[in-house]
Amino acid sequence: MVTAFLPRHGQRLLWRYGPTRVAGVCIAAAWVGLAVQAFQPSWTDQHHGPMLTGHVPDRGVIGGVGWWVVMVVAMMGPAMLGHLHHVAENSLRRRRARAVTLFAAAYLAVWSLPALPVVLLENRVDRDGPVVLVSVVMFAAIWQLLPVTGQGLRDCHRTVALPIIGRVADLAVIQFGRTAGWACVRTCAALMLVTIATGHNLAVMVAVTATILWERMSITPDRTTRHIAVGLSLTGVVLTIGIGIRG
Amino acid sequence: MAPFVRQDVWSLAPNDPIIDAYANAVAVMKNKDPLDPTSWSYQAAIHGSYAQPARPLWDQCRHGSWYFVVWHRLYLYFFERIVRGEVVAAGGPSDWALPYWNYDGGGNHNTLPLPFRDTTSSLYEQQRNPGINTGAGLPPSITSPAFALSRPTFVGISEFGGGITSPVGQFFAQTGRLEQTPHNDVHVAIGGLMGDPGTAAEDPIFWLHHANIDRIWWLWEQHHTDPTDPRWTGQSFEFFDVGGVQVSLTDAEALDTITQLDYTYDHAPIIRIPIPPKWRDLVRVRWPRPWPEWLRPSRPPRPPIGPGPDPGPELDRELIGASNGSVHLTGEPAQVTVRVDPDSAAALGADRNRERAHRAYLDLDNVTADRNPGTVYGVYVNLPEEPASDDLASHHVGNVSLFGIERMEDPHGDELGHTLRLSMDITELLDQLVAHDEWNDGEQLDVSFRPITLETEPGVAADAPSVTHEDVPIRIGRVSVHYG
Repeated sequence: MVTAFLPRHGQRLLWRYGPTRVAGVCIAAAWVGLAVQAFQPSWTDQHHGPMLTGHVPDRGVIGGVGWWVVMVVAMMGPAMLGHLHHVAENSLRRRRARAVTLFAAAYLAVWSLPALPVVLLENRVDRDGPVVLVSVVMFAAIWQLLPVTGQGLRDCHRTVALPIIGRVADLAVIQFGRTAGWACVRTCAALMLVTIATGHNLAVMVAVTATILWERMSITPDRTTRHIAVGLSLTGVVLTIGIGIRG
Repeated sequence: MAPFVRQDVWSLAPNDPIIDAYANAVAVMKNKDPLDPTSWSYQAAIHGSYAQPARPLWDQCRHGSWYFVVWHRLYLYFFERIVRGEVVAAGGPSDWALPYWNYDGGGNHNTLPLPFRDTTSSLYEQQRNPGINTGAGLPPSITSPAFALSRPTFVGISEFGGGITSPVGQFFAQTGRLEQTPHNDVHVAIGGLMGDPGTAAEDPIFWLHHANIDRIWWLWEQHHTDPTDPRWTGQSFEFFDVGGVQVSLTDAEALDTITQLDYTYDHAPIIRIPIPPKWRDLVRVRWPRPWPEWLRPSRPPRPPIGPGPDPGPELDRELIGASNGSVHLTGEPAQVTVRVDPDSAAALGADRNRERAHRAYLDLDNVTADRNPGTVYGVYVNLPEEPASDDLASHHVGNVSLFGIERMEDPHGDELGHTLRLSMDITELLDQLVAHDEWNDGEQLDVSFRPITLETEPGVAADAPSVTHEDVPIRIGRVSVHYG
């Protein structure tokens, strides 16, 4: 079964070093990929440095969805290490790599669903237009205040009792990955849109990742989402003023 | 100057000046302006309150956390100073100290102390569970600190003081053995205001209950070491002192009650951990003894499982078995079978450093309820079909009660949504079962849950639970066995 999801050497890696450590390596690799992309000469020359907004390379739909998954691994991965550890800790040792793999696959599959419309729309929207960026930031601020975010954040912290043997165990971790992924999408999708609206800006991705981690680790979710909403609103106001000054 | 001495309330006459002074001080504090930090309701709200808007330092209690014991020690310390101020102002004894209720002291000490049952006293609270105010006794399976006192270390979910948590926030799922039994169980058994952390400290018996919990920690400290982790020792908590002055103390400033907090308890430290009647003779069996081939019934060879011989890196605690489904407790006895995976257990045993003693843990995972049903359930392993009282005592490994579940499950509360997890060390019981040929296959454990009832007289349980709650089931997502 595991071979259906991982090549043999991947299994050995998971077996030997533990799923959560391997996940950490994957997250680090994803960030390296994002950084390499941001500092590519063709991109930095075009946009006067790696941190500016603008166009992203046209990767096609498949490539775009793949790039989205890399972004999800990099940005959501740190916040998901607790879930991975929960799956690992609550699985039999000989089934641990398989359970974590199934969980991660289900989680990423859920996150891939919004990728398609985002990728299709991404290159049709004029992101150089400041109105789009300000609108997305203000939308993200409002999203933080909606009950769906608070409930999603609470669901992010929920764990489930996992069966340990047989098909039912596999289905349970897939279901857990699906639930965790959906809770994560509800909580973080608006913040991801901010990243998209800034043309996959590396600094923005770092800031959004830090925000997601803060949100996830906070033990008073309602207060934290309010603080983030205020921060996003102020960002929107500053952007609006800046746009006004530049004329 | 000698430290203040907290005395056993059952060693005092009902009209002892210590108790009279407490009753008078409670009455005075209840008549104060509720916004006065030294008033009764304000002091209670520091633990928890449903009143809005919240005032400074309300809702500060720590539960399901390694901060549980120390936060409550400091809470009691400053409360005691405020009450002593009222006692002295009223002309009472200047050496007044908060008495404690040692419900595990034998005889009728498991019943509510008489002054707290007097309907004319400020110490009376009518919302307590039926039976408590009329002299029904708390059973020893609820009151005994044996599970807690037997733990060798402080930090950990199945250890004395609970697992590591954030200092911010009130309710976590890292409940230690002292917090569960007797603390949580006594709260739930008394019920009424005591059954909810948002109101518990409004019942005057709360403070004597917590003085006893603090005393048990004090007893444990005589022979064990408190955490030295700077995240614990350096953590400070804020309270109101005499005169409504806001003060702060760190955990490290609350470890020695005599030199740092100027109080002690009346009895010399005596730790008595009762040995269950069936297990008087100590055995030297150590895990993974249940799995040697000669103990297993003959069976066909297993097909190889997994992609290779390397089972992967070992965690601190390895899962080796679990129930197939969940358990719902509805006021009646219930049972679930935990199947131990022999391959996992055998692989684990082969990897272990032989010089290290193996421990086995029974975990109750994802424990939830819509609200606290007010029932305490005993947890038993491999209980005979019609158990005698000796069997119940010998197979008892811990309790389930849900003090504080309302706060964890509140979908609108500003609290993390999470479930409870309880963990119990069952190593010695498994050793005994193997030694007595009561667990020969080593592959299956029957875990029973039985509601614990109040005693109508010492040693005699009531015919039925004091309260039945079929409409509020406790859901246990999984029962699992771990190896560590």
